[in-house]
Amino acid sequence: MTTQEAKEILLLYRPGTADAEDPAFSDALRLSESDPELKDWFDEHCQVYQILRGKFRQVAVPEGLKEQILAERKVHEPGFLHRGFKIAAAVAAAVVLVAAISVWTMRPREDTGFTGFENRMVSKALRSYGMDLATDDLAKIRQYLTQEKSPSDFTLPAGLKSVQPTGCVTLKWQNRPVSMICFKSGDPLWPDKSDIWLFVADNNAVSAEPTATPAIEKVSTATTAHWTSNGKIYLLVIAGNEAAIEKYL
Amino acid sequence: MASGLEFESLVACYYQPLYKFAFSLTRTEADACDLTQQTFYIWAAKGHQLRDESKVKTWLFTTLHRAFLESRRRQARFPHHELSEVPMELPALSPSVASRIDAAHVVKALEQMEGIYQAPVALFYLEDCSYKEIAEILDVPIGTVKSRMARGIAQLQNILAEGGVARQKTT
Repeated sequence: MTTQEAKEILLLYRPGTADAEDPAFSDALRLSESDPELKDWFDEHCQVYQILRGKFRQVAVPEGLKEQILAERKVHEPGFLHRGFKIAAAVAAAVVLVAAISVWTMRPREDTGFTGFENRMVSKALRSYGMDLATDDLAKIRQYLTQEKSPSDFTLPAGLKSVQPTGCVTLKWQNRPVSMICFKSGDPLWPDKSDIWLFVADNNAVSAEPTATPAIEKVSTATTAHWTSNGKIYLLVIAGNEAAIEKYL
Repeated sequence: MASGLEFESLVACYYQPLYKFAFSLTRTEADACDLTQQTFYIWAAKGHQLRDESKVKTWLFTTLHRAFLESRRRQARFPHHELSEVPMELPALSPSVASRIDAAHVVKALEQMEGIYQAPVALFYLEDCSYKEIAEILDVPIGTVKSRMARGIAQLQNILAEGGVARQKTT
């Protein structure tokens, strides 16, 4: 094995991991002990790895993400987690808690304003999600949302009244309930999929300037319109362009 | 409720590493949050099908990576990249330069890399998964993982070194 070949193998070596026991690295590691040039290169590689690993791990996790995940948990349960895993998980949870407390003051706050709300809701709409209630009956949707203590006394914009609903999802934003009502336009490109979503929350759940006239903007690959009315904030999201959204207002 | 505690323990264990992996792929907080949530949602629906509890971590990372690829496919089809046969150039980043780079810049550098290398490199630095586990997560053969990882590491470090003092290249 040449020095160059050993470097190419050791480039994938991660110090402080099980790689030390991986036979794939053993010959190259042995050579690094007797080849000064390779040893210097390998020492630098390990240093750079540790530094970059530390940088990657500094990525801050948004406040409230864990609570959001737990809040959105559905009825499905995993079935096999045993005692050993529970103990390991509890220990890991304790470590996570200590780490979270220690870096608490350094963590950037999630954008809790309207832009953060809008981005989160658009992402939710564009990704796959599980429908809490799948139905084309708006009355049943309202009934379900009332039962789940999520905003249900919303007023549909005139252009949306003739569009077929497909169901609803209950969400949380900053621990406040948000109703997501799904519709499908009948677009032949998406014959069976929802492609219009109306999010409704109480005004005090989202920091936004009151606006009775819908404000339209492009967000990611979607188009949104938002307005406030009777103590509620409405966010309409469609998978189309700005011209297309106006017919649903 | 025992099962509720199990789910909570699982979330407590893995939501942070999953978010960091998701953030390294998407580079936006909202998308990373959604991918992480979606992963646990899929777990809640399908996790019971997994019989080997030692595979939980791999299962979660695999699921997140697939969800990311699916979302990318929906947003835009991106071209298939073949690995070139050009000999690999070893990275040229020195420890002194690396230590001066801030974390945000490191993650930003991922964005400048070819997409095919981003997930392997993120897993290389973020997680202690074995190469076999990484191959399962990315759903590619282990040889391909190593090849992509080596080229990705070189690409990342060379991007980072462009703004600093690079050590002599050794190829």
